[in-house]
Amino acid sequence: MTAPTTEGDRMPPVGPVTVAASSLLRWGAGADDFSEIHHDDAAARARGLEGAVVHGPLQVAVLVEQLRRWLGRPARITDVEATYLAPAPVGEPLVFDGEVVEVVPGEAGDEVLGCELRSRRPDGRTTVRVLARARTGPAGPGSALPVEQLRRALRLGEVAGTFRYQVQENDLEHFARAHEREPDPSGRVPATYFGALDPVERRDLHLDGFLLELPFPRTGGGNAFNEVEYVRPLQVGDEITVTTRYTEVYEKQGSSGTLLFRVRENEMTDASGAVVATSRCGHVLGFAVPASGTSEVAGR
Amino acid sequence: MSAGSLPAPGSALPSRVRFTTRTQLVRYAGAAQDPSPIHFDDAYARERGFPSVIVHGFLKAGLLEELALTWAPAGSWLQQFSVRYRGIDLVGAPLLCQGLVTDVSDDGVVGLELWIEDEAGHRTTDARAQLRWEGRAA
Repeated sequence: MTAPTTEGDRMPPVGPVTVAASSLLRWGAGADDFSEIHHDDAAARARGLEGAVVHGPLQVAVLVEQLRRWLGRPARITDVEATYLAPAPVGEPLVFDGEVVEVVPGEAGDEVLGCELRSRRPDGRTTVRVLARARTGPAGPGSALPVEQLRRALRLGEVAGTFRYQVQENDLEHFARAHEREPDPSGRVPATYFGALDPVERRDLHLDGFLLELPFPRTGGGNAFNEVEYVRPLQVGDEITVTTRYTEVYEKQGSSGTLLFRVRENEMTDASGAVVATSRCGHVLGFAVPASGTSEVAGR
Repeated sequence: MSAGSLPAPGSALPSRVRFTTRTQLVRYAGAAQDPSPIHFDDAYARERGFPSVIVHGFLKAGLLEELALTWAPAGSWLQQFSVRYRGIDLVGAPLLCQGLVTDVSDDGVVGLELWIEDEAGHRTTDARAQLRWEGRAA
């Protein structure tokens, strides 16, 4: 199937197809929508419907997935707006179709496609209408890395996770032995121990694992920097609550390819709630991303 | 240097050469709960383009902290520490740990520049620290 380029190009229709009861059940479970109007005719009738109806968002999902497949890569859907126009009775077949209604140039030299998609009942009435916008070019200026997806995954600027760790004597012994020295007999914890209390280092917080599945060869990676500031030294016996926030996600072009940085900040509080330390850590992954011919990626 | 007397800006810390071992890296991975195989699995490290496993950045930072703490009077501690990793170090390679006093405040905070050089003289690890000096005259 060829990707659409001009106004009036029609998305290959799907259907008529009857949405199976099991699909409705799975959708309800997945979306946590157990409204009786989707599985109980009597309840639906009590609400003024003729019988149980198919979830509207399920129809949207079918249409958007159909559009995604039709557009293919590297196109991507950027906006979806759905209007629910009529109930779709459970057990009645639906037809899903749509077409390109507008093509305008995008600022990155690609095109922005406006698409209108519909699901329709056998009597021809439209039950759900979707207006979708899609870009035909890859994401971001000059890069195919999913930076926006990453920002969302890391909950940039928000609390990404809160973890509690005990600083135990034997942990400190192991830590000191790894440096080939004896632990401080006073129970004072070395400054770099904050690395052992970092939920990301420990993989207790692991929100960006999908980066390792990207279809680009990796050229390197690791910690770029670690910073810490203490109000007081950590002590054996401390019970530390670590709150992690990602504060920056940015790209740079380096000699070894496109470098993707993620910067996180940890706040460490003790059992009394007092802040003991704050840390800032940057991790980088390098990717060999083919040049797209557009302008260079902005730095930090 | 006698405990209590603050060091002079510009003075150097006694440098040390450290050699890491595989056992040490495994110990560190366990102690810090760092599961990354690049530090203990040679086959994985080769896949990533390194001839052998590489030293944890945090472990190198720990060696620099140790350089400062063994030089300063007992009870001193780092209240601020920031480390930049400029290059990797392979397990077993000599790590030349060095340091310099950059500034000293009246209230006993000693600014330090700390770094690790590899065999070729490249700085692989750069650090800045604020050391709270113990034993100064009250």
